[in-house]
Formats: sequence, structure tokens, C-alpha cells
Amino acid sequence: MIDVHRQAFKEEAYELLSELESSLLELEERPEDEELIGRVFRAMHTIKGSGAMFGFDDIAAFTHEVETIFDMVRNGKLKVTKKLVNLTLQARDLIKSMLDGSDLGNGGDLDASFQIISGLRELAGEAPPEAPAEASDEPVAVPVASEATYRIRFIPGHHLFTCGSNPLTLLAELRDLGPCNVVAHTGGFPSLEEIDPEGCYVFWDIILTTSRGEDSIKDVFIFVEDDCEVKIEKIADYGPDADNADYKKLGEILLERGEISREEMDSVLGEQKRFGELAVSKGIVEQQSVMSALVEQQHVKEVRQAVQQAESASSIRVPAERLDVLVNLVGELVTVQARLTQTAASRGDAELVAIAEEVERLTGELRDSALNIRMLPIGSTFSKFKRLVRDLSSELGKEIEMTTDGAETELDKTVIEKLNDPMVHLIRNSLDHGIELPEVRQAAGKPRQGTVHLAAVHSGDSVLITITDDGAGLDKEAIRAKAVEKGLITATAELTDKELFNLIFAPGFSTAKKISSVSGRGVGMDVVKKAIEALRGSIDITSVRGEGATITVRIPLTLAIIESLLVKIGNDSFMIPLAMVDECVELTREDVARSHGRNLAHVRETLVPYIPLRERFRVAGNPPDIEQIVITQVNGTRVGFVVDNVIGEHQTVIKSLGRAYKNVEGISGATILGDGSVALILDVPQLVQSVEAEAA
Amino acid sequence: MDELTLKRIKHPKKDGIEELKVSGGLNIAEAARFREALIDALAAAPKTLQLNLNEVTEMDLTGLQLLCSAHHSALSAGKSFKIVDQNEVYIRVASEAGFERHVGCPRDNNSSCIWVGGAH
Amino acid sequence: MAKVIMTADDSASVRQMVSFTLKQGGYEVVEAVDGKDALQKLSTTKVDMLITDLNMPNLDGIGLIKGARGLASCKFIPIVMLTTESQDSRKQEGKAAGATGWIVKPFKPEQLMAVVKKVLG
Repeated sequence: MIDVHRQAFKEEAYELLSELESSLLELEERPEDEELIGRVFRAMHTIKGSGAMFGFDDIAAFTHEVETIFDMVRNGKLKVTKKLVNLTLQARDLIKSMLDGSDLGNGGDLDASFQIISGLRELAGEAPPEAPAEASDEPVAVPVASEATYRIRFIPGHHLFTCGSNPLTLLAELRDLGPCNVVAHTGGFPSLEEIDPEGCYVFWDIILTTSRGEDSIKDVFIFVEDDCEVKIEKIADYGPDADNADYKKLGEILLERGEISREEMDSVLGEQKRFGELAVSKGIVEQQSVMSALVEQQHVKEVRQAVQQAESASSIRVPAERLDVLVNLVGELVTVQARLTQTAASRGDAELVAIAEEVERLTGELRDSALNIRMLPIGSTFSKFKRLVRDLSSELGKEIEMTTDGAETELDKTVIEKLNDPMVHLIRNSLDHGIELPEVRQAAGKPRQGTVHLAAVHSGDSVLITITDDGAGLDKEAIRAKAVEKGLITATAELTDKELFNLIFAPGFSTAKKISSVSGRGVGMDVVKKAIEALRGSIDITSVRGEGATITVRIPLTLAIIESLLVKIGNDSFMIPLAMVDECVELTREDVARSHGRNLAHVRETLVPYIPLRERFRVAGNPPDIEQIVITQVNGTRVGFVVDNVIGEHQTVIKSLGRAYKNVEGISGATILGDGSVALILDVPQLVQSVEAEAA
Repeated sequence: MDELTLKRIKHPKKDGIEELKVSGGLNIAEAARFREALIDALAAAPKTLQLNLNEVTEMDLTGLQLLCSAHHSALSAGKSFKIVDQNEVYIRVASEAGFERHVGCPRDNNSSCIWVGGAH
Repeated sequence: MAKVIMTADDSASVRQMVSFTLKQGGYEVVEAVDGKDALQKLSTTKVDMLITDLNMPNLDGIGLIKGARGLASCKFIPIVMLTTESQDSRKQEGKAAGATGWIVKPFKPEQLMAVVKKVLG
């Protein structure tokens, strides 16, 4: 349909352009002819206006310049000269070539258009245009308004009817915006003898509840706003923060509307009678105004009730196990769907493939929403920690305040539960080792009260939880001394700050001078690290001595599904969580021979240790001539895993291995592939650790 | 759009009642004519002017305003004014315009407002 | 009975688009190529609404609006003018002449229908 209109415009424009040519040539002969000038102007005007209507924006923009000049000529501000006619003829030719090229997406000759516009502007005594720039298409942010109730007083001008306006259609338009009560004020009409039958005497109080915002109400009155009095006031909203106390008293509404004064209100309130009746009987206010105010009261009350009902209906409590069952079923469905897709592809049946694709899309949506149901805000956990901080700080004789941020950040319910213990431990650690005693802080020029800040924020498919304290920070020398003492590093080892700080997560490491009841409960930071890694997360610590420390815990959004890399060793399939994979490189026989039995690969000038998984998992058979090393990175350490083949990325629904296999090292779970076979998911951090342990 | 016709009917049995029967479109284009008819009918009514709106096919705000105005004039003249045979066009327009109400205006000294209790 | 709307525009493509959109919306359409043509047709045809361009040969939009308001049949009908953004003074002139509302060019069919609904109900 649009093409039809575009075509019609082109035909029209060609016609106008050929007319324009003859008009211009005539104009050269008779430069004073107003009729001709008008014709040229209108041709330009139509090409501009209609061009913009049908998407010929470049033509419209260019023609606008020429039209502007001829508007000046038309108004006698500019004379027709030979030069003007020349330029306009050039402009006409350019518009024609723009039309010719429009189907090819050819925007016309920018240089030529720039030249012509400059020439025209020079004639008009204006500054030349800015060099043509790319138009920026900035999206306009549309603010989302929440539901609110507005009080609108609409007093039409007396002559509104006679310019074709019908307020009834405006009222209908307001009703389209939301629940609406309309009260007409009819008290002021003159008698039959005096009334102007075509005049407008009525005015309205309108109470409207809408989520479209005040601007959409103003838009209703756009044609009549100059001739009418329109007053729009927001009188109630229903956002989560809105208080749902009783709505305003009748007297208050009338006071707000300016129908009565405060003194009058007070004089009526002093007596024990219904306000409305009394105010009317005292002659303070008209019965209609009272009624209109009553309508407002009733309206807000009803909307509030509706909102409350909607709220109570919008959430239902479901036992967590049912959600687990649902997620498990969805997991199975994802697996079956993968099989379907694979089977469909191998059959080469187009119809089946189409169905499989549809199932894939639906399954994806179903999976996302099922997982979403399990998401909970982390806030409830945060408030538990507040209590912990309060109790602990008094026990430790410290003054500590806890602040939080991002309590609304959502995480899988299971993750939140499993995160609780490690978080408690980390916070305890900050309170105990991090924040100093008040006197010590004062001596160091810090406020007596220390602060622990807890924050949660989304970052891609993970959530970052940070615990920041403004305490003493980590003592690098003490850590080093301790690590040497414990035999974790050699006395001469050169470590980066990061590596040094990470030592506190090593098993059995504790730098506290005395073991207090708070941090000395027999669990070290290594347990925390293990718990976080079990959630497929990572932990990191930064610190500036004397200023404090920040511990960052990164946790994936959900445990049920991960993106992973599918690899093969012999006939067995394995999965490596994609988040940990850095890159893949080849490992040839020669490479192996060159490294003299050490499992080290040269990757761009650095040595990366690798673990031959075929040996590790005792897979029978011989490796291919060229193997693949999948290089992973865990907490800054790069370790490679040697496999036969890398198949590709795969969305993996994790199945736990069950109790019998719970303690299998190096495997964190299993998944079922599209062809029905089982793939084991590698527990990368654990594999790395166990290899390190063997090496030590 | 149907032509507006205004017909005066004398009720021989019910003394004192003058009826004005309105048919067709009651809109701004006809407002002046409607006003004249109301003035004449009211003057002719001994006690009561009753307006029959059964055959009204269209109505706008000018029509509604004139009804109120006629009531006002009737009160001043010590006569009564009522609407009989309301049809759905009239009821809908009065409701859309927010003319329905529970109490009359201050001039309504004998509670005879045509809008009270909704147009029905 | 379908309501009748007149579109007065010297641009055939705009006329075609307006006409097409209105007919799809269930209206009957009378087309006029300029103000003079429009006024002549208005004197013999009863319309429920008029949509007019402002710049037209023979008789422009302002003249048409004034002329139409002078006709008994058009005294109270909604009249909507098509303007371009740069014509704010013309818009005021049009309102003074008796226009009910306006549509700023370029516009989309949905915008046209919204305005028709707004003034015609």
C-alpha cells in the first residue's frame, strides 16, 4: 500500500517538476509576475510536504531550502534575478535526479545540493549551511508513568461549538485513557430568553485514573487549549510507595479546588453534621460542587480497591518443590528439544525442521520464564546480615554500621540459600580482621564508626556481590610471612598483590593474631572459596593498607543451565563451562615431544600448564595426531585441558550425578545431549586444584 | 442526519399540559430553532410543559443546555417542565456529558431537576 | 450511514493517501483539488468534516475555511488543516478563520485517523 502512495507521489512530482521548468523560464521573461512566483512556491511546497509524507526525506529537506527562498520572493523580500532562476533550475534538476535515484536508495549528490543551497542562501543574505552531517537517530526515551488519578477542570470557551469542536468527543477520548468520572456543572445556564443557543455554558470536573501520564491528557485538549481553561492536577497515585490511607475528606477536596476557604471549612467542621449537607445549607458552596467532590472521593476509593485486589491476585504462594519439579521438567524438555532439532536436521525434512525451530523458540521462552519464577531479590538476605553486624560489633567492642545497595537484585533461590553461609563468613571476617577498634581508628584519623558496605549488581549473566569495609586493609607483609611459615610459598617468591591477597583463601590460612570466637570457628577462607566455586562463582579481593578491603563475589544467575563447550575424548563427551574458557589451541605430536614430558604449552610467548584429560580420566584408545587444548582461566590462573576434539558451544541443563557419585573428583554434573548420550561436566577449579596438589 | 421536527400536541384529557414532541437530530445547527420552539411552547403551556424525546436520533451539548435552560425558565414562570419518553440516544448523550446527578442545581427549588437520579 | 469527509489538497498523492486512509476507516470521501473546487462542491454536497491543505492555487486553505464557515451547512462541522511545521503563523491564521484543529505534515495514516476520531467522535 505504501508503495502505491510512493509511486503516486513520484508521478505527481515529475509532473510538478516539468511545470516548474516552464514556470521558471517564463519567470525569467516576466520576473514581476506574482502568479508565476506563487506557482513556483506551491510546486516546491507540495514536493516538500508530500515528499516528507511518503518517506522522501532527502528531497523534502532540500526542497525546503528552495521553498524558503521563494516564500521570501512571494512576500516581496527578494527579487527574481537571473541568478535565482539559474539556481532554481539547477535545484529542479537535482530534485529530478534524486527522484530518479530514489528506488536505488541513492540519496542524490550531496556536493551539488550543498552548492545550490549555499548559492540560494547567499542571494537571501544568509549564512551558508553547515556542511551536511549525518542525521543522528537518537531514540527518544519514553518515561513510563505509573497509574495516577487526575482532577481536570475543563471550562470551554463560549464560542467553542462554533469552530467545529465537540467537547463530547474530548470526553470520550478521556474515557479511553482510563476509568473516568465526568460531572457537568449546569448551574450557570441562562434562561431560554437570555441563552445564546450556540454558546457553550457547561463546564466539567473530570476525575480520571490513567497510567498514560499527564501529557496524554494534555494531548486530548491540544486543539482547544487556546480557547478553553483546562486545569489538570494529579491528586493520587498508586505506585508501590503510595500510601493507601483514607482519601482526603470532602472539605479538603473542596478547599483544594478553591470552592471554599479554610475559614469556611473550619466553621463547618466545628459542627457535628455531615460536611456536605452543612456546607450547602450554610450557603458556602453549591450542591453541584459538593457532588463533584463526592464523585472524586468515590473514584479514588474504587481505584484503590481495584489496585489492592489486583495486587493480591497478582501473587500466589507456591511450594518451592513444585518450582523445582517445573524447572526439572523444563530441563528435560530442553534436552528432548535438542534431540528433535538434531533429528529434524539429519532428516532434511523442511516441514519437520520448521516445527523443530518453533519448538526450540517456545522451549527457550518456557525455560527463561520457568527460571525467572525462581528468582528472588537478595534483599531478605541482606537484612539478615544487618542483624549479624549489629550483634557482632557489640561483641567485638567495635562501632560498625552496615549499608546496602542493590537489595532488589534477583538471584536464583537456590543460589541465595547456598550463598548465605559464605557471606556470613566473609562479613564476619571483615568485622573481625578488617574494621579496627574505635580508639585505633581515631588514632589513625578515621571516624570511630567503621562501615561495611554490601552491594549486589547484575553484570551480564552473573551477579556481583561486593563487601567493602573501611578498615585497616590487608597486611601484605603479614600474609607473606604467614604463607612462608605455612610453606605455601618460598621466602623468595615474587607475587603480585592479587596473588598475595588470594593466599588468604588457601587452606588453613589465618592472619588474625588471636583466634576470636568470631572468625576462629575452625573454618577458614578456603571453605568460603570452595562454597563459592561450588556455585560456579569466583571470589576476588583487593585492598589498600589503611583504607580498607573489597571482596568481590561473582555468581552466575542460575545453576540450572549453563553455556558450555562440548568436547570429545574418544567416544566420550565432556562439557567445559564456557565462562571459564579463554581460548583453544592445537597440540601436535611435535609439541608434546618438544616439551620433554612436562605438560606445558607455548601460547604466545607464555607457558601454560595443561592436563591431558585422556590420561586423567583413563579413556581407552590413542589420541589423534593433533589434539586440542582448551585453555581455561580460574581466578587469574590459566590452565589447559587436552581433548581430542572441540565440537562447539552447547546450552547445558545440569543434572546432578546423584548420591552414589557425589564425591567423584573433577566432575560437577552431567547432561544429556541431543542424541541421547550423556556428557560429563568438568569441575574445572577442582581439577586444577587437584593437579596442583599432586605437583606439590 | 435526520431533519429536526418540532410538533406541539395539546392533551385534551390532561388539562394544563402542553407537549412538545421532538424528532430527528437535535444539534447545534438546529439549536436556534429548538430554543424558539421551547419559548413558544412554554408560553403556551398553562401549567406544565412536557417534552417528548422518543424520536430524537441525535443530540449534542447545545440540546442538553437548552433543556436545562427551559427548566430554569419554567421555574421562573411558576410552571413545571418534564421530559417524557426518553429514548436511548438522549440517555446516552446525557450520561456521556456527565449531566446525570443526584441533586439539582441551586435554582432547583422544588426538586424537579430533569437530571436527578440519572436520565431514565 | 457513513459520515462524509472532504479532502481538499492540490497534491494528488496526499489526496490519494488521505482518501485511501479515510475509506479504510469506513468514511465516505469527497475529493477537491483546490479551495475553489472545494467550496463549489461544499455548496452542493453535505459533508460532516473537511480536511484541507493550506497552500493551494485559486483559493488557498484560509480562504476555503472562511468560505466554508459562511455556508449554513458547514458552519459547525469540524475543519482540520494540514500544515507544515514552519507555518505556525499560518496555523494561527487558520484557527482565526474557524479551523477546528490541524495535522502537521508529514503525518502517518494512524495520526490522521486519530485526529478524525478526535473531532468527529
